[in-house]
Amino acid sequence: MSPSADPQANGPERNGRYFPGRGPAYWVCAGFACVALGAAGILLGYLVAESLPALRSQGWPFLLGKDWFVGENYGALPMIYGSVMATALALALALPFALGGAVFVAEFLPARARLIVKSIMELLAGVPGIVYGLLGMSFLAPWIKDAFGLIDGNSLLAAGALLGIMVLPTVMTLSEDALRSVPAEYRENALSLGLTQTEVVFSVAVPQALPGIAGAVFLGVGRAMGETIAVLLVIGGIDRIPSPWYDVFSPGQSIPSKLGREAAESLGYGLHWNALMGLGLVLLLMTMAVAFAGNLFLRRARP
Amino acid sequence: MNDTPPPIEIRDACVSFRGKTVLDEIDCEFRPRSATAVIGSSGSGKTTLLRTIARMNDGMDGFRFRGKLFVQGSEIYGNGTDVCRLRGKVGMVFQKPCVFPKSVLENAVFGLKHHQPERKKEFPELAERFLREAFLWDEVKDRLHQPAAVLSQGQQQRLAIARALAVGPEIFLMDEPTASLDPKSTQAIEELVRSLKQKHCVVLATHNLGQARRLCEEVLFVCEGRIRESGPASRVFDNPLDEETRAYLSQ
Repeated sequence: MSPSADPQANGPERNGRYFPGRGPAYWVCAGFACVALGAAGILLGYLVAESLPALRSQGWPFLLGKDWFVGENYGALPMIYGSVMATALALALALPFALGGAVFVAEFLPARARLIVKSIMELLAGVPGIVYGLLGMSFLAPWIKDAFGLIDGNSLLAAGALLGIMVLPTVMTLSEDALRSVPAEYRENALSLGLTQTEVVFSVAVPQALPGIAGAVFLGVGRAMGETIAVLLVIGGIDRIPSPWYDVFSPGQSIPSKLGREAAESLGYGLHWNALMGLGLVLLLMTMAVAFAGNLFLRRARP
Repeated sequence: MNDTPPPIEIRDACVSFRGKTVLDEIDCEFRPRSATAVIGSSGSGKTTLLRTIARMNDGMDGFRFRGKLFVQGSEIYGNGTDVCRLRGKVGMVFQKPCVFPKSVLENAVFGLKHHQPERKKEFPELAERFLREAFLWDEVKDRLHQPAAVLSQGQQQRLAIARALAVGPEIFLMDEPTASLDPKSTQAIEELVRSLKQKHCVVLATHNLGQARRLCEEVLFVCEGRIRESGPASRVFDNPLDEETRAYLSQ
């Protein structure tokens, strides 16, 4: 029997394109996909609905305002600044070590040593934020205080450095996975042309692994942006943009640390609650923008 | 009297991985401007032999080499061998065609870009030259800037050969280069090997006995990691001296 003679078995054909048959597996998987999409939609819708009263009453100053006084003004800019700054610091501090470490482990370490390092990294990636936060409070913030002669070590720098330490294992281990997934034949062919090991790594392995490495970095950004408790313990908890803006030794506030501090106090209703929901919405949009930018970058980076 | 050393000379070589001997008592030499077929069943050590000549086994776990291996008179497993330079002299073509995820042109000059970056302006002409030498130019001249991955398997294999040619090797090691190709592409590669052996020393590992007979002047029969028989192709194919060789050729 020709394939087109049994449309039930082979699925319908439209404009020359083949569509698989819609059996039970199709509907079950489609159902799960709808639940996942629906959950994301409900989350976004809920945040928009809950934050609308604050956005209406504050207008643009909600995003651009620098003052946050409960019952009076709700300006989110210091928290947006704090989140962006802590994340940027984390990336600046962690990426050289994470990417350099990933290249070293994937390309130069013998198999046994690689497995040991990788297991340690995966273990560290799974350590809860509160543990990092306590270590940050105990060692990192006091060290920053002493090293830079500050009154208080709890600062944007402490938050950024702690986030850097936290995202390093995730970025490193996922980047290493991406490098290892580059087929060995590419390396062999490049080596057979007389390239050095270093040239093979940077001309063949890294460009091939770039989408995976970028994915690891964006995951790291996502984790850094969303981290609450560790940042809350070392960022200083002051809702202001330092002057000058790049003074990373000043205390600050990130969106998650603000939500962590005040969500319980706001009792779940009123303008304060709506303003906090607005902060949550801004954070969600920021992470979505990062994911979107990442996809755009990857689409352009692919040959 | 000719004092020029043979392109490849192997003396009493033994290759092992994690203590397991894969090649033993290898003693042979390969002639310039000729093709030598390395034949033998799967797992006999043909690929290991070729990879050993290009020092492609160096990074493999537990690799050990004992004996002497000379390329153009220089011992390559001695101290101070520049492996990258050696691989510039000893080109290798693998069984599975492999092109980098770049354009046809970039693939053709990939090795050159690293060895002679100062000739960047000449790359288009050089690419044309080596693509012509690999009998590929006419098929790709209008799509030099397209991804190499869109080429057929046979074209990809010829592009890999052009890429290796561009580095300027004097020896070509070809590890079953037509094993995954259709008859038409195989014919194109065979034509290319005939052309290559005019100037280079070609070592061709193959399962295709007809191909070995068609292309090669010399034959080396490898069985269980040892050379059982070697000599002129016509003699080995028509009148094998070794029992094992006879049994293999009669299959």
